Amino acid sequence: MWYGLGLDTGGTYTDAVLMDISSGKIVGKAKALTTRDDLSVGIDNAVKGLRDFNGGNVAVVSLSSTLATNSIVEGKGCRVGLVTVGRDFDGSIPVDTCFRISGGHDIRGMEACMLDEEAARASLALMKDKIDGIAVTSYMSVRNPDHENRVKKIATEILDVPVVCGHELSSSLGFNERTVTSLINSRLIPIIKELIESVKEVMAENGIGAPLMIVRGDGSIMSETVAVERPVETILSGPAASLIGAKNLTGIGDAVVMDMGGTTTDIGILRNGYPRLEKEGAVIGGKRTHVLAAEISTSGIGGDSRIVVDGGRFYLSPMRVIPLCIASDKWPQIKKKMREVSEARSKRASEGRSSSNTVQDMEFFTMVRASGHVPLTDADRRFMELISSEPHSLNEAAAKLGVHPFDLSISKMEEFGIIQRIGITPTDILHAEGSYVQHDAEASVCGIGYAADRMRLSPCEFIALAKERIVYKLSEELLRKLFFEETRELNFDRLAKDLMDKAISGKEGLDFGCSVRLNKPIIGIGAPVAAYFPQVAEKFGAKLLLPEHSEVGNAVGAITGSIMETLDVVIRPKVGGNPDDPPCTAFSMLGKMDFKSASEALDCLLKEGGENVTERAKKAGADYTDVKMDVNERRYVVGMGTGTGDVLLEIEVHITAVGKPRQFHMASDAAISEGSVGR
Amino acid sequence: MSKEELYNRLSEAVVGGKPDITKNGAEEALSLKFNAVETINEGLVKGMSIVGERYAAHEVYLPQVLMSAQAMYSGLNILLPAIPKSEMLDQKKCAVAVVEGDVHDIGKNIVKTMMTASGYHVFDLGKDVPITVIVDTAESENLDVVAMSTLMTPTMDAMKDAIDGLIESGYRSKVVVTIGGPPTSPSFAEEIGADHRDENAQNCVTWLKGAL
Repeated sequence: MWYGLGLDTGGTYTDAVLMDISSGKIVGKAKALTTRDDLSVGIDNAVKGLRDFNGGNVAVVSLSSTLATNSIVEGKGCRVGLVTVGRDFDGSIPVDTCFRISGGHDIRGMEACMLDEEAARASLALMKDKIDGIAVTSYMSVRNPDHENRVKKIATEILDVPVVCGHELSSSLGFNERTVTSLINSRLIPIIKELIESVKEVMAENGIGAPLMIVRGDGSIMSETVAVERPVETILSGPAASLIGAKNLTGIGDAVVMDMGGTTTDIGILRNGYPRLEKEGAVIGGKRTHVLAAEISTSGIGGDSRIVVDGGRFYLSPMRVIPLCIASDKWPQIKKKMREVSEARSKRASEGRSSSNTVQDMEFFTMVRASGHVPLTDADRRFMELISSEPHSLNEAAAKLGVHPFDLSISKMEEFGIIQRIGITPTDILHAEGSYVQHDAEASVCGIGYAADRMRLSPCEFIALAKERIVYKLSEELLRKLFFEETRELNFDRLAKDLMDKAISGKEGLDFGCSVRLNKPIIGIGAPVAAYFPQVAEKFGAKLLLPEHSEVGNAVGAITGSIMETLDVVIRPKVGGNPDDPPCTAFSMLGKMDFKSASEALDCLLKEGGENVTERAKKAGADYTDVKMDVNERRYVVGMGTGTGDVLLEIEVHITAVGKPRQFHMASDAAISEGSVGR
Repeated sequence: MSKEELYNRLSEAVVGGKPDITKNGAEEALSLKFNAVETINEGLVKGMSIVGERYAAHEVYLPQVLMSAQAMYSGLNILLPAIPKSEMLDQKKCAVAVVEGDVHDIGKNIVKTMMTASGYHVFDLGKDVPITVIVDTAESENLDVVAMSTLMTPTMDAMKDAIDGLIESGYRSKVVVTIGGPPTSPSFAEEIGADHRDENAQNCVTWLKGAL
């Protein structure tokens, strides 16, 4: 029996699944808390949670990780140098050392200016020992990569660091986006290397000697060697893996996938079995890149979202807190503190404050990590010391420290991520209700009772209200995503908001009601989905699929993903020649190539392109690959109305090689031969 | 002479294609200390819009439009230098060009005239304009509009090259691209990623007003 091990490190949980390769069945699953400082600890815990398996039987391991995305957002990474050819970079992300040299091509791939190799040599020599990675981008390099390739060659001679060229990562026009993509890629290389090394250590400890695959932002997978060269492609791989997981758990290729995790809910669309990709390129940390990633809308509603009752009103906030029930597992004494707050509360009048991050009486704080370089006041430092042993509420801590609660810089310490709030969450709602009891439900019941009392509701009424509000929020996010898919519009005017509200709430207007009907099923992924998604699906007349193992859907997606390599070619006609089959120039990663006719160009590129993607797919770890070619001829009609027919504008060729890791075939072959021996 | 009388004389001279009258009228307006912008708008531009509308309605022929344009320019040559710099700041900037490989520029010249008459600061890049010149000017002059035209079929895809060039330089999202010329069509504009295609200059100017 051979297994595939799928791993996913999410914002809150790290999941592991064990899949029987020959049958595709999930035979084991486990969850552990994600350890942000060192992901391998959480991965190790998750792998250890998988009981009854022999590491020697694991044929392949596949990992999806938020590490790259987080590193970019947090500005982590190594020192990066940049050489631009023929144009200045707009500086939209920081660079450690940057030189511009003359060179570059025009839009038709002709050399616009000679490459100044002398200058390249001189600038690269100046960068020696000052950088850990380098990006080379040249103006119009997608139309002719020659100058990038030549500078790369010089760079490898002079420097001993990884070199990446813009055209290797993207075939799309847009010098600045290409440069941003290359720089992020260079910056991430040591980070991904470290991750791979630490994961391999965990694997070795657990007796797993199988090769490691890494999930890409489009849901496909690549070998660790390729991942180290192109780490930027791993960004947003978690949500993409959840789409692939949803497809494999249900066998359905056209669906809306809603993944409710601890921190966020991600909504993506599957069309024809593939995630819908962001055509313009993914936006990370506010910067547009050229990375093809699944287009996912993310909203701050998850199992750990903060619920607040303030001034007699109910609020659902995107802030992430530790649920009371989980905190109480770790610190049982918190329940006593909660009861004290409840009792004290009856003596005080109901406050009316805002829904912002104002600390509530029933919220507690715990230390996440030592303050390090964070500048703190004396009171803050004593506060940190106090909460390092056990959680305290703000009032309790202030009383013990003899300071006013306002003297403590709570929001600053939260922003720096050194303290973490504990409070009421949707997870507590489910625990208090009794529908999902993984942790200490008693703590949840106490917290909910307190909140309900403040709204003068019974706990049952409060739970019903909270669920209704969560369902409304999820429905709103779903409609926003669907409307965006249709119209590419993110800002809703009054009319759109009104229609959306009627469709979700079912309220009647003066003369009309409104309903929205989905034409594809919803697949729910994540632990708390059964509690909310049935009502969401019902509102829109959609079929809801809650597949078994959906709570580890991302890890399933990681291990069931395919290896995929693509090549984009643009073939453009040259002036003159036979208009039906004109002489052409082809632009691609392979370089600029001239052909006598369009048909000759197509024949040649389909052959060479097919070989190129197959070779790259093999390098990425695939065995047998299927090569698929999409040829899109774009023609236009000349507007004179003389009926001269249409003219070729350009041919877009999209060549893809898809395959499974070769261990899949070995495992199936082994299974077959085992079977035959048995017979 | 009253303002109204002078403005009417200027607009009638533009409609009638009389460059001497517009030149003298413009000089007179300045000597009477009339506001230059107002004189342009109420006199020259008013006349040119009448001609533009008549041309769009097929009531006048092309040579008449060209004569009117000449009359307008001879007045503008006097009045434009008299406009204080501060009043020019929020003026929208536009480049007009006949793309590489083509030299037919009558249509482009009409567009230039109508754009000028509508208050644009027009950069006339001329005819047979290399793609790089269009792309570089857009960026260096911080243009709001790029207007391209061609009469011939084989030069049509130079327009696509120009738009591709704007995407590569990163300036495409900051500029409105409109195209024209007999072989082009709205569907061609869409295919190559232009924002608009029009068959006459007056309508294009009207469309731009809404687009900017």
